[in-house]
Amino acid sequence: MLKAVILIGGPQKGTRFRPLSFEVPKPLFPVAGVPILQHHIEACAKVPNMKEILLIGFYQPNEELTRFMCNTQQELKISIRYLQEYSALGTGGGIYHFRDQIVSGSPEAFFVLNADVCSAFPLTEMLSFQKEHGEPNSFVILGTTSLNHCFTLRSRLLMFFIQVLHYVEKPSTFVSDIINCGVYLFTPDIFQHIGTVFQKNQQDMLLEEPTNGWHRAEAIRLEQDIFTALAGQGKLYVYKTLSFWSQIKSAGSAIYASRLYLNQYHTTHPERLASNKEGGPKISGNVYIHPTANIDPTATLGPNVSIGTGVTIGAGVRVRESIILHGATLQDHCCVLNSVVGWDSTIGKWARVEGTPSDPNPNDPYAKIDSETLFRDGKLTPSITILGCNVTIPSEVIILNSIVLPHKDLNRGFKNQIIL
Amino acid sequence: MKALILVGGYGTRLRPLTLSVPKPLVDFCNKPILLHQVEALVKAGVDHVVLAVSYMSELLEREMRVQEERLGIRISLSHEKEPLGTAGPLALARELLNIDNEPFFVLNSDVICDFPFKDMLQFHRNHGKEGTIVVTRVEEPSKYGVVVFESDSGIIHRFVEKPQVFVSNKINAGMYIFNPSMLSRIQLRPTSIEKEIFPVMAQEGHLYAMELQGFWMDIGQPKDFLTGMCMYLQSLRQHAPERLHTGPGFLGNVLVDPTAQIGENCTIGPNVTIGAGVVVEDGVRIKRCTVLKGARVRSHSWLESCIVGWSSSVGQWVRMENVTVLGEDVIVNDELYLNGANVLPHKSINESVPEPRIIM
Repeated sequence: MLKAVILIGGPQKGTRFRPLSFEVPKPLFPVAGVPILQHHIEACAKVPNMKEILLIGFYQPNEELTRFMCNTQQELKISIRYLQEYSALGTGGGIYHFRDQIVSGSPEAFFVLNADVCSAFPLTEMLSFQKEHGEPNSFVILGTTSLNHCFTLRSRLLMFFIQVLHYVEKPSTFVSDIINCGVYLFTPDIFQHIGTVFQKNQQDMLLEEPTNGWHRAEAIRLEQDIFTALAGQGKLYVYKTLSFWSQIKSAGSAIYASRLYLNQYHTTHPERLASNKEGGPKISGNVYIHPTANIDPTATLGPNVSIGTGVTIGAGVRVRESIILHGATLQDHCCVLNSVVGWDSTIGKWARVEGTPSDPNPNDPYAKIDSETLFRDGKLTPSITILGCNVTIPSEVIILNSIVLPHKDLNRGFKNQIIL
Repeated sequence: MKALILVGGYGTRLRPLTLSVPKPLVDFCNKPILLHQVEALVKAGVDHVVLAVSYMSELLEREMRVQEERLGIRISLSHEKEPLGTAGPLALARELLNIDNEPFFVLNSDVICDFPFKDMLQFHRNHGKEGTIVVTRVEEPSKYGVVVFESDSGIIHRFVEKPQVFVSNKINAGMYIFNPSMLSRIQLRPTSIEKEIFPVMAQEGHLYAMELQGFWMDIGQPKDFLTGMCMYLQSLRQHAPERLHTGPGFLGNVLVDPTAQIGENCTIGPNVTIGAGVVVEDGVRIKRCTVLKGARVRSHSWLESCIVGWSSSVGQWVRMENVTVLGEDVIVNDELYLNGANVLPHKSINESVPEPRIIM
């Protein structure tokens, strides 16, 4: 029997996802037409013998999360529960705190997935790999290659064959080109190791002077505290995958992740991809359109476009590399490129809403998205244009590389700005 | 009567358009710039036009033969092989201008206005002196050379170049009428008419100023070309409104050649000129632009304050603004944004130009 734990974080995390995270918790933001979390859950539900999925985070109970869990449970016929941390406990502290819930029913192993990653989630392959290569109680980290040495986004692993010899979190110099995807396979005795660290932290805290801010002994980070210790001891292994993977930290990466998932739909959910039909809009590449969207047949959509519920798209509209969220209206002849258009927003006739993609090099199959900085040399870095919820863009203007906060009624065009 | 038009050289300020065609032949509101002036001169009784050029163009020569036939007048080209300034060309054309004892017109080729040639002649004959300069009122006189003159008689006292304090708000509009005797004042060498000839004539009481009524513009550069276009179209609205195009989807003053085709659901205008054989596809919005012959603007694009060169093609969902000028035969790919782009002929644009620059 297996279980899966998804670490969904909380409101203080994911600030780079603003202003989109003002409306909805980041894990529920739709990517390729469905909430980020749903991709994780669908992947878990596919693994044979998966008994239960536990969501661990520190969001307060909210309507969207409850509704999402309810709907997904019914659809996939699998048990999903939310375990709320009383405070941010870190990637290790949360699972340690709820260890009894995780091990109840005696699962032989359990997966731990970070919510802010986009992946093909080769979970069954990780399982097979663990049985073939590892010791009976070994732990597996999903890894992938980043050939670009200047990426320091995640941790690096140095492998001997497939065993992890050395683990460094966000190194500033080159250590290895293998990065941690944030997807793990553990057995219940991971908790022994976490427990050891927990005890040690408790003792350290007693000895130290109280410093400013909360330093909770229970806050444990899997990567820095656990993996670094386990590396080189013959317990930690890496399953290297060639399948797609990306982080979802900013709105820009949501569009990139959307592209990866939409592409995956060809094999996993072909019914979610729109096709060219008589009397329908012109579809180019991979496009998701919710059935309740209303689209003029002279519109041209795609590649890499997701259209949410109740969206209205007028005559001669062009949308490319963008996410259009629920209830938005795109009036005649407007052009939306590399942008996220927020819930219930309106884009006027002939307006141009355009962002700059920050995609990794498309010619490099292993290139990964940069963790983007908002400003560089004092100027706003050209990036995806984001319209928050309920934003109105007047006709005939251009909104270029800008971020517009929710409920804003613009009366002119803007370039390279954050509009509060 | 005779007229001398100072055409000059390469017309570099109106590039990239003048890389394909000599400046006098660039279409302004669907008619070559030069023809606006020549036709007005012919109406005022001129039967011989001399074009003072410093760059000889076969194209220009050929076109002038055609116009000679058409208008039933004589057109000569006076070619200065070395730069002669603004007065020198008159000396060069001396033989052509000095034939009878009639006064002759001199025009700057970049000027567009409601040409007052009949009034000029009348005014000039009335005062009986050697020269008349047309002046026009401007908002920012200190950018130019201003003319100080007596408003009732018109007699000019002096000229002041770019005055720091307010002296006058009237500037030289680039249109003159002279008696042939004035030609003896000019030698065949590089001479500035404003700096060397006029001040002397003014001192001798031989120079008078006539105020221009109505609009005036020097259309020698794209920004002013478009401003002049707006003024000209407004003047058409007043004098010959039937020439403007009206109907659903047309706003304000719009001039459309009868051979142009405009698609459905477009909104064209105000202040747009569409040349012969132009195709505008469905759902296009054009404001304050000149679209030259044979160009195509594809569907759903948005253009404001642009000049689209002959036979160019603007793709679908393109946005062009801020005095973007496309030379001849330029292709702009779909979905691009051009802001103040100056594109040389035969160029293919496949990347947006978010900030003004020149594309070679």
